[in-house]
Amino acid sequence: MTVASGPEPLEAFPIPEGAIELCHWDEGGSHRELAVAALQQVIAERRLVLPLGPQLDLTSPERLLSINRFALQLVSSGLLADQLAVEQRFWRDATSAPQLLLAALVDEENGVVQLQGVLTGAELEQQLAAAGEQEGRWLLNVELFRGGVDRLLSLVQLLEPGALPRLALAALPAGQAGIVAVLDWLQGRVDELLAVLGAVLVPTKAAIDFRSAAAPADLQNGIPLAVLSIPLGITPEGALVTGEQARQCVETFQLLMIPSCSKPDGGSPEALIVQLTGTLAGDLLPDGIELIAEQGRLRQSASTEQSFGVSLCFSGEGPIQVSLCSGTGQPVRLPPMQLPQT
Amino acid sequence: MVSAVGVGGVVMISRARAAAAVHPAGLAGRHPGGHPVGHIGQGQSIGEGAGIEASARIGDRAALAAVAEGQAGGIEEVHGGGVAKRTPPARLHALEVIPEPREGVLGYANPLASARVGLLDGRAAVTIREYSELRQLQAGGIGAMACPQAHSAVRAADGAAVEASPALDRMLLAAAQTRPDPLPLLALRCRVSHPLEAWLRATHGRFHDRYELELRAMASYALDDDGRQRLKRQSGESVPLVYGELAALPKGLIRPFSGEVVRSYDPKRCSLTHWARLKIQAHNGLKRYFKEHGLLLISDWALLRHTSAVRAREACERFLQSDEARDVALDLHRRYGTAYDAAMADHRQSTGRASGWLPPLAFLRDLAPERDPFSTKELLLGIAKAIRTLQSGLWLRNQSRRGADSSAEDPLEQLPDPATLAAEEDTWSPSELKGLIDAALDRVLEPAVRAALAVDQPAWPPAPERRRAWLLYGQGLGQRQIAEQCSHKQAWVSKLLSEKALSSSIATAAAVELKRHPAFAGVSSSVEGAERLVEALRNHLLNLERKGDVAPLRRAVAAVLATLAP
Repeated sequence: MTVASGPEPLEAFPIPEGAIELCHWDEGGSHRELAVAALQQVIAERRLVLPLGPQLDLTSPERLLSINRFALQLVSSGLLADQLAVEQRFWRDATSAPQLLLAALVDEENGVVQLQGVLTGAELEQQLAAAGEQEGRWLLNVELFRGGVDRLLSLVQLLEPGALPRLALAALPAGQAGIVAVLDWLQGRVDELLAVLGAVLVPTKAAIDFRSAAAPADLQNGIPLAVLSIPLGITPEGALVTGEQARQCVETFQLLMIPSCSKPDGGSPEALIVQLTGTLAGDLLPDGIELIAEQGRLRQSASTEQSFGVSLCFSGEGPIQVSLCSGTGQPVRLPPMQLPQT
Repeated sequence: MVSAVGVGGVVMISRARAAAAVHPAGLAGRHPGGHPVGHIGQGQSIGEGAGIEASARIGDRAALAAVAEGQAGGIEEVHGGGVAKRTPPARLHALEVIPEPREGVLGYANPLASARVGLLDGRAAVTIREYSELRQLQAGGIGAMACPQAHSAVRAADGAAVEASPALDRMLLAAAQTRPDPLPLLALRCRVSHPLEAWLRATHGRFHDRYELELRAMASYALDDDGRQRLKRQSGESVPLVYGELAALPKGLIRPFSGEVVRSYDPKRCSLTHWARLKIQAHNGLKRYFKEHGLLLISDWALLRHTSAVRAREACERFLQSDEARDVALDLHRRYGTAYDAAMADHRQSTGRASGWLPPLAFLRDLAPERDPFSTKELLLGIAKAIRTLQSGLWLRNQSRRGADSSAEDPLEQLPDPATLAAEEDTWSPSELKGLIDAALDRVLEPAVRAALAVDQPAWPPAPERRRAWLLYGQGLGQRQIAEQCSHKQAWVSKLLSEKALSSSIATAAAVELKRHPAFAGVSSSVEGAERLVEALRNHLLNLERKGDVAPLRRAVAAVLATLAP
């Protein structure tokens, strides 16, 4: 293989200005792990009090980060990368989309991380027309990300979370239509559309013991087969939030979704119970939260007022659309959920 | 003066310089990693810089043949202990050809230019410089140590060879691996020292000016072979330094580095000279040294993975020769990314680190089953080289732009006064707003500067120029002037002060204070408003309020510095 004449090949590469040299790093760590470590190092060096989450699974590529109550998607690549691949799946739903997109360029061998800059959702939207696409990812030029870590830290310290809207920028994959199969929960799978809201499966027995203490009247709805919990919280500004943002709130509660069946020996889910309860047994729910669920023409709703729990139950075919409202803030909408067809 | 004169006046070596070229073992300096540098064992040595004054070059076989036929005069060589000794002309007539490696050039263009022809016992004999001259770090810099004894191993491997070649490398390696003879190994140690030197010189030539690289320090990592032919085992027993002894040493970097290159070399993978380049790129000590100076060594394999298809296409179109190769190359590059990720995940799991991965044959076969894996590898390396060449052009453009920018000392975009960014200008008078801004900056400026200086303070006793740089900054000097006064490059000053990061962090902290006040409450709902306020505060921190004044950030540095112990 011959190479045409040109300047002499570059044998070493200058460390970009502003790059973070990690004090300690795991050389076997992923780009994301090193990028998160760099972010933590900068926050510590600048002695900032900026909560960075999620507390569990901080380095999981399946999760968005939360920094000072902003939802942040971290994309990373090698230090010399000229393009970054941005997963589209996080941008399908306006209730759970990130507010900021942070680009990190990483040299794991030398422990050097360049936090290249951030794009807001609106800025990303402007760039998408010219972006390439590959296997469910947008390909964005690295130069589009500007401001380095300074811009990120400025925005998350100066802005209120509501100032950066969550935008649904990606279309749902054909045929998927964004419907969550309730049956998946019985096999331990949580759809990514719910995972971005912080949804986790919790042990059924403990959850039901707790639930029966909170709302014993609901037990007649059948045998619970699984329990999915979504953390909820109210910010000081009165906004209803989910996931990691909710965990940072003073006022927290949860939405439980419980597929159930009538047969004592178990079987396929026949009904879905949607229940709003406190985080701890006996916690009073905040007043004025409205729980709404729709299935076709059927619409049910319940509001909290000096309540320990409110719940709704659906059993028919067709997607179930659940949403929560609090005062004048933006509602939280869950992706449509589908019980198995009988 | 003792002179060595061959045809056309070939090698001129003064006795004094020759003596200076031979450095007594262990008297050299130390490189930053603490290893001795310039260590030379017993043997013959010609020091570059201190030793060689001139060399002649020949480029054709006719000239070589003429010399071989006895038309050459005698030659003097420098031997151990610095004593020059005349080689009996009847025994060896030689024309020594020592091409100076050009800075910025990897490898030697004309292999004939490295041969040395003589008459040995009446027979024509060619000494191939690459196998009989060890490039090493000496007292005066990188120099040559003659190892004529290694030549016998070359003759034994291929008596007809007149130039270094991969085939000869393989023969010597086979000899080293199968015979308990130190000479084939010595010839290979000589062989790898040349590309190592070329790599060091090229990299140094490119970067030393801006990044304060020292060739001697760099060479101490890779050209540390003293030419010895005996090895001391851990038990204290001295044994011949043969391939088997090196192979039996525990895995990991061994010294000399040339030994490590040879013992880890698998001829199935690539040529020995290319292997030397790959090994030096992965040398952990050298990587640390480069990183301390603001540079990174990144392997071809990582480079290929993180280069987009767009950039790879541009590199291939500009720097790969044939259209066919380009299309094949781009297809290969496209397949490479996914395969690399999977292979690296396995490598990380098995070794616990990201470095050191090289594509095994199975990887290359899977990547392109329709091709010979060796040609796949060559093609990938060709793409990597094209990308490096493209990067080089980008870097050069960036450098020239930086040079143009630096003509204006410490440029800073002119931004509005922060007081003009308040929400309700009618409600708040300019003096009230200025009072708010000054108060906010007062609260955050001093602690932030103190924290920044406290981080650097432990480095002041061993490097007082760091404190001096801060001091000069506090007095209002520009980075170039500070660099001159501290005997460093501007890049060193820029990295030390990190003015942009420091000013941004202080400006943001002040903006957070200000947004609590109704006059600036609007910034919490507008990206543009927030950014403009931070930039304006930064501008305020870095710029002079009046001519002859010192900017607030610099004033704060001077004030805090006055309270800190040197």
